[in-house]
Amino acid sequence: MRKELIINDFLKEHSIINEPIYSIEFNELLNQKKLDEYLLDIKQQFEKLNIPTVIKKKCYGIIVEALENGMRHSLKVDHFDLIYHKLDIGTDLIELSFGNYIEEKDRPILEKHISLIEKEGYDKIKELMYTKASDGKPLSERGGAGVGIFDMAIKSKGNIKQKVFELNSKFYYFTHIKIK
Amino acid sequence: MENLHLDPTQNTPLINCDSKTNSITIEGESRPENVRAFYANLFEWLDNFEKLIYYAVSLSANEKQIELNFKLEYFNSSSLKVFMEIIDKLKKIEKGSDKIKLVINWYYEEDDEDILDSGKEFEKMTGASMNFISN
Repeated sequence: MRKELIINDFLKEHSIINEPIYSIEFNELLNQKKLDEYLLDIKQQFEKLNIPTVIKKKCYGIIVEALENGMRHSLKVDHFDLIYHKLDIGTDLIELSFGNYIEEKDRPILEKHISLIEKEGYDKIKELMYTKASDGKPLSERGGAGVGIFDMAIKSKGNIKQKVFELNSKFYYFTHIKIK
Repeated sequence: MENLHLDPTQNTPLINCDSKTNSITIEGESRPENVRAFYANLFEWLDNFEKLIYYAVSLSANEKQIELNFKLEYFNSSSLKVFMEIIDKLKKIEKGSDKIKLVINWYYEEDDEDILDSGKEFEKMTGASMNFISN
């Protein structure tokens, strides 16, 4: 099955913004320079649209965590290393979507974290994140603290849907977030 | 001992470590491409500062105050881990002498609930007393 069809199905099921006042979508190979350029554009767009501070900072934080995670954990194989992102700004809601192929060895821990986020409440997720961040262990080889997924769940206040799909004999991780 | 000053960039904060005023300030956006490498200079400075401040309090009856200022617009989760380590390091320095007092100031934009919330979590997790100051 084509990746685009699965993403479209997932978005159809969860997305509720029909006519966004601003929308951007890409599926490309990201690096730090491209990320910085995109974040600068987004900051300017939020200013232009007078998005309240609390909302724009939440969205900004989620975009950084999700795209940095994508850059660190995406499958480093040609044609499978692209990072998908969509931002839709509606009149009273912002929707953020992210997707990338992952390494098979990362799948169990990722699914464990997704399951925890689905089961546990806001306070428990927060406790988990700060406990893990203060465990004294060094940052991972890929430079992450291993808590970005919890940070996204906290900032979205639980309005987060995540799934790992089996696709083309590989695994694709997709996230959809609503910010009100 | 030399001070440490790093100008901010789009993805790294301003760093200002001053051994005359015993103050450390981290200001702006913290999402370096390599968090560990970016903050290595600060940890090296703290190691030297530790020796200097213990020497200074050994020569004086007066209390010395260390001021740690966080003035953050945004920080990623890898930076969060490093900030915890910075607080822990300074808390250890404070514990090493009853003439050293650590003051942590956490600045936040009035309606930035996430930054304020993060500060409160830092306070809870590190056990350090913090001042929350609205910009």
